[in-house]
Amino acid sequence: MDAFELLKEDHRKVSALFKEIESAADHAISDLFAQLKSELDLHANLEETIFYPALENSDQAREITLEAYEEHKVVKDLLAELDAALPPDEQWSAKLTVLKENVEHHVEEEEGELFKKARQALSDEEIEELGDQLDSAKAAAGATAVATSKTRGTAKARPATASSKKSGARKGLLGTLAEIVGLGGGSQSSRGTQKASSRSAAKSAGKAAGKSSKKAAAKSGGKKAVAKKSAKASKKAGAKKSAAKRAAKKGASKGGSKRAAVKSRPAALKRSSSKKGGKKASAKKR
Amino acid sequence: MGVFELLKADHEKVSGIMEKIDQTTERGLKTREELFAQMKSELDLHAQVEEQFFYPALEEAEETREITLEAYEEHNLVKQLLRELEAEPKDDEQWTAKFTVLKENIEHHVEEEEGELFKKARKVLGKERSEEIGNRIQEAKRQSKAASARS
Repeated sequence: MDAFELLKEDHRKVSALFKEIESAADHAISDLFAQLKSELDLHANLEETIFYPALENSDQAREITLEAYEEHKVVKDLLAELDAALPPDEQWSAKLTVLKENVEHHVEEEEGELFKKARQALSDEEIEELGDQLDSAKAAAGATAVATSKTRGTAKARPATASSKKSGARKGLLGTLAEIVGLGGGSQSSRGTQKASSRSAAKSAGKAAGKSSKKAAAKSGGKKAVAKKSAKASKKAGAKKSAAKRAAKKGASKGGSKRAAVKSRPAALKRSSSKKGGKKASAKKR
Repeated sequence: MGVFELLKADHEKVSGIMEKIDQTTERGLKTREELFAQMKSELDLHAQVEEQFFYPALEEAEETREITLEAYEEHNLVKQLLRELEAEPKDDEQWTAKFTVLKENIEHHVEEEEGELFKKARKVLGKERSEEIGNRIQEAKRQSKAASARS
């Protein structure tokens, strides 16, 4: 699956939710906001664990990617403030407007400059691979959300083994995710995207899998844990992060840090694409 | 002096400092630190006088209430980013990225303020009141600068 299309789809969903909240009656706002928050948190975590690490070491995409991390941080902070300030009043709505404008700005910049530079930095295969990884991590997180949601109780009753029978390779990745999110057998969401993703998920699980991709996917699966972790990580961000980056640049990617682990994936992708040779592969040697 | 001209002059001053910071690199640490300190003190004072003298006059009027409440929230965000930028190492790429986010948020706030907010505020306040608020802001700024020069 094309990573850009997947992320754009997320953006559109979020934009629709903002519109809904703005026109909703007061009593309906809290539920809609919870939905918005979980969409945005998940989207941000997927981008930060799968998409951005593939870009931040590329010369042309680095600056805009570092900015994107910071924009995520602003969005997450505002989401947390809004969450704590419920029920909504006038001041809450004013803060929501600020959140909305920041999200709109971020989306505009991401779909414009960042995607453009990402297309230059990544090969078509890499874009597909990243899309597959995003898709499977998202589907796994979606399954969790559905299984734990009270309002969508019907989906909960779906047989848990449906997909693991169909796809062996997938079982590994989803099984791991399911364990982490506490679902045991890997229950399924009823989302349409899930089915479509099944093949590609199997592909990416089998191919690019390695420890790092599992780690990243697992992180996005266990939502709460991720939120905490990334909050912690971004607090420490400053020196540590850039030190890790510098170390990675020098080729010392052995470090046990989260970032170093994530970084080994794009490297693997680079290898697979460079086999095919061509212009792009040479542009990628950094 | 009218409040609008006064606040616009502040905005231009801050914008000038931000341009200068933009041109610094992680290696020009000292220049960056000095410019940032200058920008932060301008912004803190600017936000303070707006919140003390300008916004309260607007938040009670129906026409300007919504945009004024939003302006307070934008100030909050800017202050938060300023605190983070102050605390974090300025010779780091991530600092530069955060600074860009601050700059974009300030630019957006200024655009909205000089556009929608000022337009509505002119109607709500009228000329005399705008002058009066402008004078109070000017005096408060003068005193604050004199105080910080003494310390």
